[in-house]
Amino acid sequence: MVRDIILSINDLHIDYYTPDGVIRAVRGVSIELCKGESLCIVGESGSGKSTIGLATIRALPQNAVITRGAILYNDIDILKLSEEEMSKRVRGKEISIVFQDPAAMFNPLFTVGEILLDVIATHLGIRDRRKAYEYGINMLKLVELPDPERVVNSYPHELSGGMLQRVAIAVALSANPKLLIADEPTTMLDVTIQAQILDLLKRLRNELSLSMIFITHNLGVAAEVCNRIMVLYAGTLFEEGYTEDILTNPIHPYTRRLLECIPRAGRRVSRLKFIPGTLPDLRTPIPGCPFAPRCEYTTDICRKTPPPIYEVGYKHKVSCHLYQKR
Amino acid sequence: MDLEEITSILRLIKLNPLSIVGIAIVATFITLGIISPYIVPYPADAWGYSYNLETRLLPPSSKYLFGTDEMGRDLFSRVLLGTRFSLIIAIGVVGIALAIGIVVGLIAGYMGGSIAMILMRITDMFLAFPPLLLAIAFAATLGRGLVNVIIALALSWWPWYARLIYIQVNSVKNLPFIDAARVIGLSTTKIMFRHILPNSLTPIIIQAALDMGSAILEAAGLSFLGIGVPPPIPEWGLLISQGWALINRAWWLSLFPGIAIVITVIGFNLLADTFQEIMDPRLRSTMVMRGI
Repeated sequence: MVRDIILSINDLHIDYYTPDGVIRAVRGVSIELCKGESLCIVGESGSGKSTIGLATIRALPQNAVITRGAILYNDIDILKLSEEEMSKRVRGKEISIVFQDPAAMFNPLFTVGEILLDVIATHLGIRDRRKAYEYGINMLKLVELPDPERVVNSYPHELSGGMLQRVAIAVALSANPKLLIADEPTTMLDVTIQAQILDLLKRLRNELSLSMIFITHNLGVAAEVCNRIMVLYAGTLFEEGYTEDILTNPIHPYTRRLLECIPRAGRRVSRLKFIPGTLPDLRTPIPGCPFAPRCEYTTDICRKTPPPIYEVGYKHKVSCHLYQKR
Repeated sequence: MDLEEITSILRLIKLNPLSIVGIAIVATFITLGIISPYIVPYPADAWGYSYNLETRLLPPSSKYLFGTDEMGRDLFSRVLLGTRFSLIIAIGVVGIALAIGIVVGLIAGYMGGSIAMILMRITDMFLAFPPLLLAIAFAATLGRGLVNVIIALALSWWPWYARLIYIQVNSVKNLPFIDAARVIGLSTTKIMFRHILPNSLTPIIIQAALDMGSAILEAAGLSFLGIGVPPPIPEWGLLISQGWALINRAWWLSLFPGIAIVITVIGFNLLADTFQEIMDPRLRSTMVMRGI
């Protein structure tokens, strides 16, 4: 089955310049996303997952530099567009992003309606206020907000976090983008709301045939929404594959440990498992596998040479020396 | 702004009697500024077209509330009409200075880099001089006249606003919702004027209210020095300076315009305080709680 590739990221390297030195946050990550597919990028804090999301829409902070690699959206070379073209052609219209903290994402001085109207007028050119207003209400209905006529006239501080996240999704989707990047959209919400937002995203993905990149540190959440999972560690790919393959047949020791860390009903454990140790210092070069200091199977080769990427199944890749030894 | 907010602001104003005084003074000042030409008892005296030797330098009486000047003109009429010129000066100076300052500060703050460098160094050049000295220099170059006074004061004033806006924009532009506006593809001008500017205005509005009083004061200073509004316009500073020579014989000449200036400046200062209380939500909630 040949499907159109909507986004391809090739050997992306991103550095952050900080007073304490250069942090090499992303170290050669490649992603291929097909139309209608949803890919989940899983990793700890500092694994570079959000950085990749921001780079895709060119919203990196000023101290970040893309040193190598390419990002192609359909036929558009994202990294070569001017800032103006980026806003006119790509942002909101082709690629949208939803962030972690919905409360911080809204200008406190404007109502939800004004924010929606702004985006609708900019991207869809609907200048007639009544038409745009109707369109906005429909967007709010699409994200299952109760009482959209009231919400549209509310200020952000009058809405709860869950409602705001729905509004954020409505705003992000209002110009019919083809690709939605969700950067930990449920992390700041409480658990019941989390499940609702995940369901909503799943539904919207199917209804609008969106492609989606879902960024999370929670493998359980990843399994819930996405058909592909990519495990990232210290800015490098550890394992990538279809969700079922990753969940039933994890190869990389790190993926396995992550899966063990998910609390599950019906499995009695006295303590939740965790992975001892922390991410390596990203300012220094890492000679071997970045997980080597925390891995229980570490051998000499792990400390010295970076592992290559092995194809272990259909679209199932892993980057670990262990695989070779089998 | 909804009804709840308005009531809480009103309650806050009620709590602080000084803010009522400030609002009352400024409201009276603005009203008088607009209607004074139509209510002055002696219009010809007010505009300075009359000359009457018989009524020269009369002390305050029921007929001439503030007395008369050396040309025999009713001082009350002249001081009353003076509110109009002070109002024009205050609004003109602060308005022009705000317009320049906001544009410069906003562009420098949002663009950053070398544009900010150039704009802010120009601003610094203006800031390096004492403002009154700069205003005197401009006023002396431009020559006497109401419009020239306004231009001279505005030119020496805008750098303060530019600085203030620049600092404010720098902190606001890194807030997450500005990034959110950017990644949804809003244009730069829209982000600057609709998202950053309104969120940067609070300190500027307070400062502007305060400066209304200072503008009147400085315009009076220029007039007093003889490089401001030309006679016979009844500008307060000019009235003081004209009366100054006769202070031994006619104390009222300088006193009443002086009082007018003092009251107006105090009024604007109190108003600025009120603005500050209203606009700081934290201060507002604690004050309202204390009141309840």
